[in-house]
Amino acid sequence: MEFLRDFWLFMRTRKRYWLYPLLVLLLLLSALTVLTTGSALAPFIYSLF
Amino acid sequence: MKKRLWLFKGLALMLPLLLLALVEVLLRAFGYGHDYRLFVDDPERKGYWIVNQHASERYFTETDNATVGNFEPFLKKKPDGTFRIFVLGESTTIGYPYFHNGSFHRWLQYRLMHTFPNRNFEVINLSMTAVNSYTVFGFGKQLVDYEPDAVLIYTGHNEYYGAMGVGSTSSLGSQPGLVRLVLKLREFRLVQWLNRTWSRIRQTASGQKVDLREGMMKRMAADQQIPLGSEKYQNGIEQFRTNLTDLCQALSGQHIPVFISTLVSNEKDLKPFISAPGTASAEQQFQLAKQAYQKGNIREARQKFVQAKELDLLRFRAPEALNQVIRELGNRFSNVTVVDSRAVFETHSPNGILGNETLLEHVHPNLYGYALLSDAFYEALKKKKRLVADGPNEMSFDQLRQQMPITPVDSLKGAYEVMILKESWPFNEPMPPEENRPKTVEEKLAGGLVVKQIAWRDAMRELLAHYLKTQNQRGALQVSEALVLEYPYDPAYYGQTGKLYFSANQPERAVWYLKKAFQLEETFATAQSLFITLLKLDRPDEALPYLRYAAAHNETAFSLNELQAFVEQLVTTKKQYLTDTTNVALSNQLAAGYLKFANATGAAKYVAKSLRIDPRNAAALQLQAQLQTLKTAPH
Repeated sequence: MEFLRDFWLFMRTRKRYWLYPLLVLLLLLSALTVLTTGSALAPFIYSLF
Repeated sequence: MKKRLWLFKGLALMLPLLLLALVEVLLRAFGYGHDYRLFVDDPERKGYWIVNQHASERYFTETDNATVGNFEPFLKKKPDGTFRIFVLGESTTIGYPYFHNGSFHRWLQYRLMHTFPNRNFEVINLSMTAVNSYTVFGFGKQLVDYEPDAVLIYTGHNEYYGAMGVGSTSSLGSQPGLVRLVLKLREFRLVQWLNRTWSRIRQTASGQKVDLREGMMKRMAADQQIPLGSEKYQNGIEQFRTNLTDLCQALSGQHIPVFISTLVSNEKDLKPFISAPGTASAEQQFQLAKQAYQKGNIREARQKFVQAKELDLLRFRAPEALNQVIRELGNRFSNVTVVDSRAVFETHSPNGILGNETLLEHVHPNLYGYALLSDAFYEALKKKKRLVADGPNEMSFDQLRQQMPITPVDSLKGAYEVMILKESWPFNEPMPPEENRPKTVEEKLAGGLVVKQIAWRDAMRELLAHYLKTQNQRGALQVSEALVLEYPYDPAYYGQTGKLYFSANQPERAVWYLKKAFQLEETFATAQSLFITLLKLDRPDEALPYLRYAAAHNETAFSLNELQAFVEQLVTTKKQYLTDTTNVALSNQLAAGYLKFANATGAAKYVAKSLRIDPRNAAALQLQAQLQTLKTAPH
């Protein structure tokens, strides 16, 4: 119990240890999603091939 | 204390991953997103795999735009002796604009099933429109778990503008490794959620700003031009090379034979879509090629037509560099065979230059072209000894072209599709004026198919009913065989085709179809049709098992026991006769037996044999007279 309380306290006071990695991960995933987006025109030319 | 601090730091760093995992679990638990495995259980048939309808979504940013291909089931447990072929590729590979039996894989399937009547073939086409080597790689590497005997590939024309291609994807499109990472990540529901959210944002934004259709030509001309030798051009070739090399490597590791075709495109009868200004432009090369062609300088014309295609800034036709990559793959991997379809098309084109004789527009073959494509793969399979054709049954290319069940509706549907396609950008060819006459049944059905008013199966059923009503036996047979090819696990279509062949006095084909129907579903009706046809063909030993089945499951008021006893006797007599073919008493006995059950064909065969040996044989002459009476008697 004491371990969990201490851990919770740690998380509250040192957010950078978990918040930054979380943000970095989400940003990375988002960046990959955005950067590999298909051209908005692509669906209109699909009938050609 | 310090130790605990480090532990907390470690746990805190892992927390984001745990959090994302939790979100992933929750999304899956609530059924969000889709599983992108290539095959799933066939919901309509127990024990069969079928293509997952969501498998292609991973390759499209907007999953609503994801194309789907054929849904061709195959047995989970591959039966002994079955030859299983998977086909990978793009719109040409799936038979655009005909689809269904217009596709080269169906031509191949038809030829194989009649050339090797005693073998079972599964030809599963996994191609779909608008995809390129990323999808071919993604699908192909999963095939190792499904026991393929051969993998056939035709891909390359969509390398630039197809899904995830360098010409259709944002900045990371030139990095195959990163694109593949993204495709892998899309298996996660969280990434699917991110993707959909981003799509909605884009749709909302673009909807407010510009009508994309309206400005398409302008935008294509501005954004999508890919000059020969440019960075984007090279990236496209690298993308193709990387994906196909890795696929060949994966299949090579499992010793799976791969047959990869060179690409064909219209060079003579299609002017470049977008030409750069200047003297070495695509347009200028095209004009020079035409002039050379008219003057009969064929060698120069051919070279310039190809060059015009290479210089075309709109890369809807694969550059020759991709054919070079394909040839390199053949040299590099022992399990890879290059199917030189380009050479086959050249052989069948005037002066060896590809044009409208084999192609409909820029890249898609016409029906003759699809037949040629199937022939190229067939010959390659034969050459590599994957299949050894037994002489008398082998269906020649000419026979294939005559017999392939492509209905007029399929053919017209393709023609209409192409007319519609050519009416808009980048062809801009006006549609021919509509003829002022009532439309035929075939034209109405083809029109209905194009505008998706009617499903293909329903169109075929209507066409079959029309042909049966108008006593068009040949047409009815064609439609019935077309349905067999499309639905190879439906015994009803085999049975129907068998009966039609029997009526058309082609008992050999009738037996083949009826046996297939019986294999799929044992019924009294099929057994009855089978033993009647086999007795007509004087194959009593083959007829006997079906007669026994029919006798055991008799649905009629007539007893089949007497016939069964007679056929058993017939089998014994025939065995004796085969050891002593000059024994007139035995041939007379066989003739009399057949005559008793009004099998004129069987009886006539043995009467003729008797009279050939002894022209004055009284018993044979008497049987001949009885036969005449039977033939002239009113039915």
